[in-house]
Amino acid sequence: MLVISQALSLTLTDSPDANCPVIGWHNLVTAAGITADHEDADYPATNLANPATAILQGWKSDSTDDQYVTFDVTSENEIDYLGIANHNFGTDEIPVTIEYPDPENPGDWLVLVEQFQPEDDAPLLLRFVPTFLTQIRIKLEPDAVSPRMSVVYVGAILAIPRKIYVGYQPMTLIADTSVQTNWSEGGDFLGSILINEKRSTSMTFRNLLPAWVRATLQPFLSVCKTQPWFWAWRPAAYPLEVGFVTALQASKPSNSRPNGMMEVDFQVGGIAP
Amino acid sequence: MISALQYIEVDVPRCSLVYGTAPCTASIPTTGSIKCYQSRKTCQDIENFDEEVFTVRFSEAGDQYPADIEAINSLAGVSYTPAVVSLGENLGQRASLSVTFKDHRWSDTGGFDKYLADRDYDPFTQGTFWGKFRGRHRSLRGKAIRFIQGSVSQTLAEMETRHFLIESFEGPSPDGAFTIVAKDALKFADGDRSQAPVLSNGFLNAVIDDNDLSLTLSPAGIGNAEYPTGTPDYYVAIGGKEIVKVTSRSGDVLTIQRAQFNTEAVAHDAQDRVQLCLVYESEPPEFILNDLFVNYCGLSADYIPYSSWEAESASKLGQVYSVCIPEPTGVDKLASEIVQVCGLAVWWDDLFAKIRFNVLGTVSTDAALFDRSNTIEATFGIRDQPERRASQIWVYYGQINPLKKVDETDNYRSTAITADFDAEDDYGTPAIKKIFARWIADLGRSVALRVGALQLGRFVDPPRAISLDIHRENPVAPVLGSGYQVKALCLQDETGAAATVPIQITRLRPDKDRWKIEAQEMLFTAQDDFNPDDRTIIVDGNRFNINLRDAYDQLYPTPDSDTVVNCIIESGVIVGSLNTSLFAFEVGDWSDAVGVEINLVINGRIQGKGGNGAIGSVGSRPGDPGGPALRTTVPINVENLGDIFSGGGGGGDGDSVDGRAGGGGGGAGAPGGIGGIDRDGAKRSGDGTTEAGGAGGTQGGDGGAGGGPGLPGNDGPHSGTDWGAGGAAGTAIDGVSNITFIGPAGDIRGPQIN
Repeated sequence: MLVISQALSLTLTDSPDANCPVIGWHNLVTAAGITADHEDADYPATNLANPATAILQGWKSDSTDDQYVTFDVTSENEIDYLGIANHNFGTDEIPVTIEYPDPENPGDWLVLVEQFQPEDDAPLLLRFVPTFLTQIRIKLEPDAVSPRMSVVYVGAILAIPRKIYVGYQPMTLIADTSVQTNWSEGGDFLGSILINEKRSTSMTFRNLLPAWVRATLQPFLSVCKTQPWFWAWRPAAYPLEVGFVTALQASKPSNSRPNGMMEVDFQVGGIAP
Repeated sequence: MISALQYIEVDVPRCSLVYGTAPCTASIPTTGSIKCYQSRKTCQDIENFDEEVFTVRFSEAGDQYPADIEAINSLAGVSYTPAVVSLGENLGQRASLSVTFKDHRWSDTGGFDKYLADRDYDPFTQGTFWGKFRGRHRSLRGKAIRFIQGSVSQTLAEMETRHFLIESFEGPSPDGAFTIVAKDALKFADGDRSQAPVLSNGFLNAVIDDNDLSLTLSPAGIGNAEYPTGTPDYYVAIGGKEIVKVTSRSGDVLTIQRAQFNTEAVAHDAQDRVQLCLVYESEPPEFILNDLFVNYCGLSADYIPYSSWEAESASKLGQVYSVCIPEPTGVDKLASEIVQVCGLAVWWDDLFAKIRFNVLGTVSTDAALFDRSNTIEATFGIRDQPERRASQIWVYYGQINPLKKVDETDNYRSTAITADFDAEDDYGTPAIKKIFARWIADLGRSVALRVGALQLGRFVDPPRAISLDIHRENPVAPVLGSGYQVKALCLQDETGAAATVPIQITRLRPDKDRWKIEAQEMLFTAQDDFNPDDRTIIVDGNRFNINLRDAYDQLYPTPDSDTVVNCIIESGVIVGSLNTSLFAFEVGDWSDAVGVEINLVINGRIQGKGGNGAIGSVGSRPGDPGGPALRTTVPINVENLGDIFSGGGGGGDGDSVDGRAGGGGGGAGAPGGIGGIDRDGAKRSGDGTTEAGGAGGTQGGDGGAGGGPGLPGNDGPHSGTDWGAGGAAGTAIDGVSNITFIGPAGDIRGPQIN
């Protein structure tokens, strides 16, 4: 689910880039820079700094009180997104608000992304106006069940300058399934068993400027297979179609046009719904 | 449509203590440079390692896996080779589980490292899950691992959980694979890890002669360390040549009785091994198997549903077994012998973590049916197994010398043959199966015949091997070892009508979408009118000094007032006595089973020992009295179609004539008395036989002839005064008032008293 802060929303309204794909791979979160109001000793908040989505490698609160998880994110550059993977905010109806320190009133916090209620437990990509921040925090307001989440990224979003058009298969719509159907000796249908279910898709970024590829895309390409990333293919039109994926194969940009423009193919797999 | 789930749970041992907190004495830097990882391998105070179980769950990577069942999704594959149940032959084939995991980075949270906060490194970026695991654990052999299968709608508790014990692990490999191999619990009965009896470390510290009644063990102190005190008595085998009974022990000195279990008393050299024997006396098979599995394999008693074993054994066998195992032997071998002798199927039920125990039998006709409606297409298979047919079962029983090989036919007193000659005619040739039943005691013909009946009933028609697959959602989930019925187009009766075939599942593999079944056709043709309450003892060969109660205890459970004991002495068989002071046949002490009904059928003979003839002398020497035949102190019924003879008395010596005198003849008996030598040392008298007394010696005055069966010996002919009197006849029956004769009393020779 992609959520855009009200302030950024005003900027993006009617923007021709509103449906350009975005990638959240840049991450300033460190284990030493995480503080949670509550944590289960076996599921410490430091786990949020690693990209493993397993619940056993995530954070779990031991409280149903309103609570914060705070991240120190000192950066020389502006940051404009926060991603959350593998959480229970949808299932257990836990509203989320993103806040940052009020520079004029130390100790106070201001809202960065207004409170919202995730529809499900799919990856969250929260975008806001690019800002220099030293801290950012997630406010959680659980009801009956303690919150948990496995991965949090905070950083600068990578916006792909070209949209994706025909041929793309949104990984949120249908999973890759392995199904075994059995029939009896007598010809009766006995049933079908879902053996496994995974999410994957592929996409191609075309007509990329060579300079942009070298300056902006290349750092991402160098880690896209070893580190998972948040992926929204058409943010304005389909804000619910967000995945947390890794490249299954090395993605190598190729020189695809006489004018030097380039393209890059991706085969990706990960979690989506 | 259901979504299949698959989990693996591993019980990892870890210490419950806190580093450096009593009783843990570990401290930095004295015992190590960093804190432990709660594992034995990294423990710095192993004496105080306090093991607890830490369960780690793994799943495959898949979107269908629910978040509320936490698992590490590194499971790459599960290869499950199911157990094969052996029907009446051995312990079958072990189930094997091979689980492969993918390696990955790991934060050591979730309880994996209690001292995470004390580490000076980032565990997520340093090393991998399995690399660290291997660094912290030498082995997981014997630890529990569970293979869990279910569907998304189920809770973990509702899923199928199959239980195994870890055999080994391997990895991580250069490509990041880590593999755990596990087996079912019966793997621990293999001879490479479980021997019964346990090897004894004592040996003789000096030579002992063939008549020494004590021995001293070496090395010093081994007596207290390994050998019981002698209360109760126990047995040891010396040098693999002689079994002796130990009646007491003081330190390293054993007081012994020589030449037990039909072994010969011989001299032994210093350094000869003194091995504790494993002896079972009159124990039911469930007791023996339980003892072997728990005390010699180290398996948990929780694996054994003993009460159900007892019920199965009591209702279908009702027999006990005795054996002396003088040398360490693989438990799998011993258990397989029991399985064969008792006609059992013993297997690991991985679904319930129990060892199952069944006596071969029939399948209920209302068992669930697998037919064309629920068998997955193109999976039904059937194969004949002519090699499994048996038309004659030869059961060798009554082992003579436990130190000899089990399969030496001349080491058994008896053989019981169960045969179906009609089947041989039908199939064209005999098919003989030999069973060496050292577990069946002497006089256990009825037990041996029962073994033969079970085996023949199962294999007189060779069972066909049947295989088929059943859809996972089938309402009847097949169970390993259980009976079912199958129908298929190729199964027909003589009219061509569809035939229903009973099967017993001997192998069951639970795949995600189906059950893969391998089964044996469950044919069972009853070969006897088995009555679990039958307590028959058959004397089928010549024996000496039978105590009916002792024989009963070797073969059957403890009697009570409802027990009916039948003892049959077969025609041509003589039960004799080795000593004139002993009865040939003692009914024995049944005071713990007042009211027991004892029926004695004598088709052969009970006969006391004959008295020896007197030695010829110038004085008067009487012949020895004959020995007694039958004694009972409890009421019994006797159908005497044969003989009850006491031993005849020995003949007296003859008058002396010029210093010469003849010896008396031996009295009749089994064995007969020995004729006495004449005064000059030559033996001219005759020995008694089972049918007549021997003639007297003929030097000087002739000796008296030995008495015939049940008769006193004859006096020496007495023209003078120094002849000897003939010995008295033995008692034919002592306790005749306790006997109710069924039909005529038969041929009884000798006095009858009470």
